[in-house]
Amino acid sequence: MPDAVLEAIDIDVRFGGLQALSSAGVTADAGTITGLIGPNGAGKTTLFNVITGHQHANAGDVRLLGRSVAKYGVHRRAQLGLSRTFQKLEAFNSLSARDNVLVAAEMHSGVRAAARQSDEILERVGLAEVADITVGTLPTGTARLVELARALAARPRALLLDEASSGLTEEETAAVGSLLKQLVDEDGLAVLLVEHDMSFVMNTCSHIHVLDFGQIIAVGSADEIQNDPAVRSAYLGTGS
Amino acid sequence: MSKRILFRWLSAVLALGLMASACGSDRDDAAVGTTTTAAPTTTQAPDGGGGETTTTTEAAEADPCEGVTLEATEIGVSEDTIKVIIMADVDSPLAQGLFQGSVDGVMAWAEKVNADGGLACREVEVEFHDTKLTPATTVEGFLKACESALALVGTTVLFALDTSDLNTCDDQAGNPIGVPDIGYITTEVAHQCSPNSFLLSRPGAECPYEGGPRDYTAAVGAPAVLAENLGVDFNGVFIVPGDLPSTIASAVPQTAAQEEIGVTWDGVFGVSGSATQTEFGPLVTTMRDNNSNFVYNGSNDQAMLKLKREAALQDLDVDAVTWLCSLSCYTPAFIEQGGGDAEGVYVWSFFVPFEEADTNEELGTFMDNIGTDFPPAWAAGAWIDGLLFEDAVNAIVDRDGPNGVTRQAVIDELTTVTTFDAGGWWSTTDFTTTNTIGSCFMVMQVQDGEYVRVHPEERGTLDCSIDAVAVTADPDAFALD
Amino acid sequence: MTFGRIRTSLLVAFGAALASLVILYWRYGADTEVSGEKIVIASVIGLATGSLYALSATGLVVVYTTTGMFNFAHGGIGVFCAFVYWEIVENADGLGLPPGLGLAVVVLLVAPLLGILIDLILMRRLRTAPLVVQLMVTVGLMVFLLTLANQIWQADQIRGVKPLIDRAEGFNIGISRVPYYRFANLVIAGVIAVFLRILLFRTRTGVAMRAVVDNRELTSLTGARPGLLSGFAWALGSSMAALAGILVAPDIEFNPANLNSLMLIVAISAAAFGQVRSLPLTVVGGLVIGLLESHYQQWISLGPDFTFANRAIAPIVLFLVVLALPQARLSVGRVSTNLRPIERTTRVWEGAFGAVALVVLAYVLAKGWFHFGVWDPGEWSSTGLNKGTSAMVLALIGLSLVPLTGWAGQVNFAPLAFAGFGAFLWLRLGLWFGLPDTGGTGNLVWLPLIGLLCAPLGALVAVFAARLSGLYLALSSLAFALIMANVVFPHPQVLPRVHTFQSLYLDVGFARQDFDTRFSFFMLLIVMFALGMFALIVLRRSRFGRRWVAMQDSQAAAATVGVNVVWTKVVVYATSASMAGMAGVFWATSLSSVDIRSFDLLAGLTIVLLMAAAGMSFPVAGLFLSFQVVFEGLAERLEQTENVEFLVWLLKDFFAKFGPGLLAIGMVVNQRGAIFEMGKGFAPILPWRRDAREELAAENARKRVTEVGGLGLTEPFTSEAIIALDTQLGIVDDVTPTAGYHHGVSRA
Repeated sequence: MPDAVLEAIDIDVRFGGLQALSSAGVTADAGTITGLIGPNGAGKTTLFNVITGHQHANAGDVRLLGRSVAKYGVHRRAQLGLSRTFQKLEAFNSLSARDNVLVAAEMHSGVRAAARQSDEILERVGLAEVADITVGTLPTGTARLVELARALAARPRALLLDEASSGLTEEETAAVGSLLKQLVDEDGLAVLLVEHDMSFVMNTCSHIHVLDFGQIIAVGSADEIQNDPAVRSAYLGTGS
Repeated sequence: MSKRILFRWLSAVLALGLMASACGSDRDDAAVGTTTTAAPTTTQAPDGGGGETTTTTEAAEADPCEGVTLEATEIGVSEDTIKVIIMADVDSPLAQGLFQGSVDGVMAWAEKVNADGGLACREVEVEFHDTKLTPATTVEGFLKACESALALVGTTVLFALDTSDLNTCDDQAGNPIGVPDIGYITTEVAHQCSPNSFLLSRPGAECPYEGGPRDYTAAVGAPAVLAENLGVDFNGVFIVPGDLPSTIASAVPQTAAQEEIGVTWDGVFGVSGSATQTEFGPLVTTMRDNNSNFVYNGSNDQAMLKLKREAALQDLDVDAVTWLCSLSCYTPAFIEQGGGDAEGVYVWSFFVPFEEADTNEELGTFMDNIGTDFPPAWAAGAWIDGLLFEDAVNAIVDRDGPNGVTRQAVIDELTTVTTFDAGGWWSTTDFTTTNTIGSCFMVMQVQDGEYVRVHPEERGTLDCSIDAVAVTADPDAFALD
Repeated sequence: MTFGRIRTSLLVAFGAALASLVILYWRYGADTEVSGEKIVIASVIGLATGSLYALSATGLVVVYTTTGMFNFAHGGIGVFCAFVYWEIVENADGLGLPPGLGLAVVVLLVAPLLGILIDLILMRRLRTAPLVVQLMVTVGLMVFLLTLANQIWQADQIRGVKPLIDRAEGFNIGISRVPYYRFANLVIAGVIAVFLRILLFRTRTGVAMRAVVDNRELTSLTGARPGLLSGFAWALGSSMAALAGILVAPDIEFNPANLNSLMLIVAISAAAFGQVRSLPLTVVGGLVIGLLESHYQQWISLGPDFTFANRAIAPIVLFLVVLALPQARLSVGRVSTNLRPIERTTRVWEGAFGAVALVVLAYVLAKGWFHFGVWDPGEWSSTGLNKGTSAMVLALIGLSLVPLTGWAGQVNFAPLAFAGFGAFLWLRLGLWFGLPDTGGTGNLVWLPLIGLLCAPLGALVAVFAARLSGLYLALSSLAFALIMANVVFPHPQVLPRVHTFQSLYLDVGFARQDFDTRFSFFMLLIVMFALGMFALIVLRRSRFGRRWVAMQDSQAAAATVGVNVVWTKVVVYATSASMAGMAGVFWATSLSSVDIRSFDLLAGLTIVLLMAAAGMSFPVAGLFLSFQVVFEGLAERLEQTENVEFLVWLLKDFFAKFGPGLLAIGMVVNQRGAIFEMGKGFAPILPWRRDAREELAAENARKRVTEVGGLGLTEPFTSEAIIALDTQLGIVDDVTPTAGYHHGVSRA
C-alpha cells in the first residue's frame, strides 16, 4: 500500500454554535491524486484551512509523512512539505511570474539554484513566455498557473489545490490535469484537490472523498463514488 | 473622462486656496522681502549717543556727514544704506502671526530714523526673515544676516537652538566675530548665552550653562509691593507655561525669587497653551485646600482668564485672591475676551505703558508711528531694540565718523552699555553680563475695562527701588504639580 | 468575536488601567490626600473633558462605519466649520446671527455640503485604493483644511466662541460646580450616540449605508443607491465633526492647531476603544480617557523627568486597546490595479549609475559650475546649503520608509521615533568614550554600530505589530510615535536638556576627514543618500525585496510557501529602524540639538505624506521631500528679478504652505505616486529601455483603433467593429481592418 503522505484525522471545527466539520478526515497517498468533493458549504475549504494551519481545529490531528503537524504554524508546515493554492486567487500580483516562483524557491535554495529551479518549473508549467509579466495583469487562467508553479517551487511532498480549475477554459483545465498526472508519476507527489468540475475530478483522481455538512459521507474510486446513492442525494437532494 | 472632471475640481480647489492666501496675505505686503523706506531729503545731525532723551535735533556740532565720502565699511553697510534684518516667528501653523508685532515695530522705527535723516548718514534698510517657529529656518536667518546685514534688530524667535553661525561668521575683514544681535526675547539657553546677543527681555541667568543648578536674577518688585500694600504674606499658585521644556524653565527664576521675598507656593502648575478650561480644575482645588490668596500667571493671558473663570465656576471667592499677571496680560484681547473676568487683575510691566504716551518722548514717538492704539508688547520691544542699535551706531559715528561703522564696533559698543533705559521708557538694563536684569517696574490693574496705574503713583515713572533677587535653582529638577 | 469576550477584554483593560493608576499613586502620588470631595471634583472634570472627546470621536466612527474610510481630516472639517460658525455668529463685523441659528446653519447646511463636496471630488475615487493611499489623502486633506483656515482667519486677532448656554448657569455636586453647558455636552454626546445607533441599525438608510461598506455591488442590487448613500454618509460625518468643533471651542484657545489636535489624537483613541464601530463603546472610551487624564493630573506627579507624560495617556490607551481587543472585520484595501504589464525593478547598474550621477550633479550644482545663458546662480551660499541640508536629512529619513511601507506594506507614522532613537544612541556613545554626556561623539566610524543597535527597537515594534494589519497597524504606529515623543525623548536620561551634537568626521586611524563646513556636510548627506538608494535598489532585487512585496500582496499565500511572516516583519522593521536610526544621527547633527518640538507629529506625518505622494516604493522618492526647499530657494533667487512677484509668491507662500496637502490629495489620481507617472513618461526616452518603448507603442496602437460602435443590435456588426472589439479585449494586436475578417482568426 502506498505511504500516506498527508493525513487529516477526525477533525472537528465549531464556529460558535455551528459545527462546520465533525470527525472529518482525508488521506492523500504518495503518487496519487485524491479528490475532495461536496456541495457548496460542505466545509471543503475549511478542511483545507485546517490542514494547512490557517484554521484552528477543536479536535483531531493532521499528519505529514507520519508526523503530527497540528502544533505547527502555516509556514512551518509549508517548510515541512505542504503547499497549497487558494480558492480565491492569491498570487503576488505586483511581482512577475518568475518572481512569484522565486519567492518560493528561495525559501530553501541559494541564489543560483533557486533561479535555475524557477526557470525549470516555469518551463514545465508552460509559463516561460510570460515569465516577466506582472501577474496582476495576466488573465485568471494564467495567473492560476503561476500560483500552481509557485506552490511547486516550494518543493512540496503534498500539494493541496483549492478549485484550481475555476476560471480556466476547458483546454487549460485539461492541461492542468495532465500536468498533475505528470508530477504525481514523476515526483511521487501527493495531490489533494477540491473541485467542482466533476469531469475533471473523475478523470484525474484515483481516490475521492465526499464531504457533506462537515462529514465525510463516502470514500472510494471514481466509479464507486459515481454510483453511491448517498453522494447523489447529497448533491441532488432526495429522490432521483 | 473622470480624470478630467477631477482636474477641474482640483483646479477649483486650488483657486480657492489661492484666493484665500491672497486675501490673507495682505498685511504681509509691507513685510515680505526687502523694504526700502523713504530717502532723507536733507541731512541733519544725528542724535547724540547714550540713553538720554534729546528733545531737539539742532546741529549743535558740525554735521558729521558733511564732506565725508561714505564707503562700504562692512557687510550690510554700503555707501548709502545700512541693512538690518528682523527675525521673528510669524507664519507657522502652530501660532499663526505670532510675533508680527516685532516686525511692525522695527519697520516703524526704521521709517522714523530715515525720516529724521538716516543713520550714520545712510538710509536704513530692513529685511524681514520669518523664522516660523522652526530651528532650521532660524539658522537660515542667522546665515542671511551673516551674508548681508550689519546687525539683527528686533529678534523675536523662540527656536534659536543653534547660534554658532550668529557668533562665528566672518565680517568683511574676514574676522570670525559674528553678527550683533539686538533682540527682544528668547527661551533657549544657546541664545541667552550667545555673546553677540543683546536681548532686552532675557531672563537674568548664568552663562555658560551646561545643565544642573543655575544662578538667576529675577525682578520681583510687583508681588513685593502688592504684598506690602495689603499687609499680608502671599500663598498661592503659579501658572507655568507648560508646552515646552524651555517655556517651563523660563518660570524657574520667578518661582524661586518670589519664594525669597516671602511667597509660599501652594502649587506650581504647568498648563499647556491649548488646555481646556476644565484642566484648571486641579489648580482651583489646590487654592481651596490651602486658602490661597495669590495667583501669579507666567503663561499667556488666556490662561489667567481660564483659571479665574474656573475658580468662579467652582464657587471660590475670587475677590479674596490677588491675581497678578506678567506682561502677557497687557493686550486688548485680555479685556475683550475677558469681560468681567478680567476686572481686578493686576498686571506688572517693566516699561511705561502705552496709555502714558504723553509722559515720555520716546514712547510718544513710538505711539505716533506704530499705527495702532494698542500694539503688542513686543512691538515696543522691537522698536526699543532699534533705539539701542541707533544709540550704539550714533556713538560710533561721534567717535570715529560715519565710516567707522563695523560689526566689531557695534558689538564693542553694546558690551559697554550699563544703563540703557530708552529715555526713561524701559527698565534700566545692563548689557555687560547676562546674569543681571532690569528691576524697574510698574503695576496696573484692570478697572472698568481699562488698565489703570496703581504703583508707583506718578504717571510716566517706574519704581527702581527694589533690587532684583539672586537665586540658584535647577531647571532639570523643577517639578510641576 | 462574541460580545462576551469583548466585554471581558474591556473589563481587563479597564482594571489594568485602574490598577496602574493606583500603583503610580502609591509610588509617585502628589502630596494631596485622598478625599471623596477630590474624587468627585476630578471625576466631574474628567467627564466634562471626556464628553468633548466622545463628541469628536463619534463623528469619526460614523464616517468609518458608513464609508469604510478612516478620516484623518475629521478634525480639519471640524475646525473649518467651527471657524465658519465663529464668522457668522461671533464675528463683530460678520453676520451676527443668534447662536442657535448659526449652529443650525453650520451643522445642517455648511457641514453637509462640505462633506458631499469631499465625497464627490475625493473619496469616491478612493474606494478601491490601498489603505496607505486612503489614509494619506485624508491626512493631506487635513493639512489643506488647516492651512486654509489659518489663511482665511489670520491670527492677528484673538477669537473666542461662547457656549450656547451662558457659562454662569449651572448646578452643584458637592462643592464642585457643573455649568449647564458642560453638562449639556455630556448629554449631547450620549444622545447622539443613541440616535446614530438607531439610525445605523434600525433604519433602512442606516443599514444600507453599512451594507455599502461591506459589499457595494451587492447592495446596489437591492435597489439602494450607493452613490447617494456615500454622499449622505459623508454629509452626516461632517455634521458630526462640525457639531463637535463648535461645542468644544468655548473651552479652549480658539485657533486651528489647538482645535485640531484635540479632535484628532484623542478622538482616534476613543474611537479605537469602540473598535471604530461601536458607538456606545466609543462614548465610553472618550469618557474613560477624560477620567484617566483628570485623575492622573489630580493624584499623580511623576516629577520633572516626565513632565509631558500626561499627553501620552490617550496614545497609551490607543496602544493597549489595539493590542488587547480583537480586530473587528475591517474593510481591507486591495492592492492598486494600476500595474504596468512588465514590472521592471531597477537594475543594479542603473542604480549605481543613478547614485553616481546624483553625487556628481549635486557637487556641480553646489559649486556653481552649472549655468546656462542668463541663469547663473553661482556657488551655493550658506543659506542655500542650509536648505539643501535640511532637505537631504529628511530624504534620508524617508529612505527608511521605502522597505517598510513601500514594499512590505506596513504603514508607519513614526519614522521620527526611530530617527530620534538613533540620535539618542549617538549622543550616549560619547559617554562611553569619556566625552561629556552633553556633546556626543562625532566619528562616523561608529555609524554602523548605531544602525545595529537600532535594529532591536524595530524588532520590538514588529513583535507588537505582527498581529496587526491595515488600519490598526497604522494607528498603533501613531500611538508609538506619540508615546516616544512625550514620554521617552523628553526624559533627561535620554536627551539631556542642554546638549549639542558635534559636527561629524571620519577617523579610521590613519586618515581623517572632517565634515564641519556646510558644503562638506551637505555633500556627505548626498553621498549617504546615494549609498542608501543604491543599497535599497540592490535589496529590492534580492530575496528580501521579493519576500516583502510578496507579503504585502498576500500574507496568507506567503505563509503557504514557507515564509515566516512574523520573522519577515521583524526583519523589515529592523531594517527600517536601522536606516532611520542612522538617518537620525545626521538629522540631529543638522539641528545641533533635539527636543520634544523636533518630534512634532505633523513633522513626522509630512515626511510620510510626501513620500507617499512621490511613491513610497521608489528609493529615489526621498528626493521629493526637498520640493518645498527647492521652491523656496527658487523664489529667493527670483526675488531679485523684477516683475515676478506673483511667481515668487506662488512658489514661496502658496506652494510652501499648501503643497504637501495638495500633493497628498493629488494621490487620488496618482495612486502609485508621482514618480510612477513620471517614470512612465520618462522611461521610453532612455536608450536602453526598449521594453518601455514597446509598451508605449502597444498602448498607442490600442488607442488608435476606432471606438467600438453599436453592439450589432440596430446595425450589422461590421468587421471593423469586430476588430476593434478584439483589440480592446486584447485578443489580437495592432490589426488593420480588412473586409471579411472573422472573429478569432489571427493575422500572420
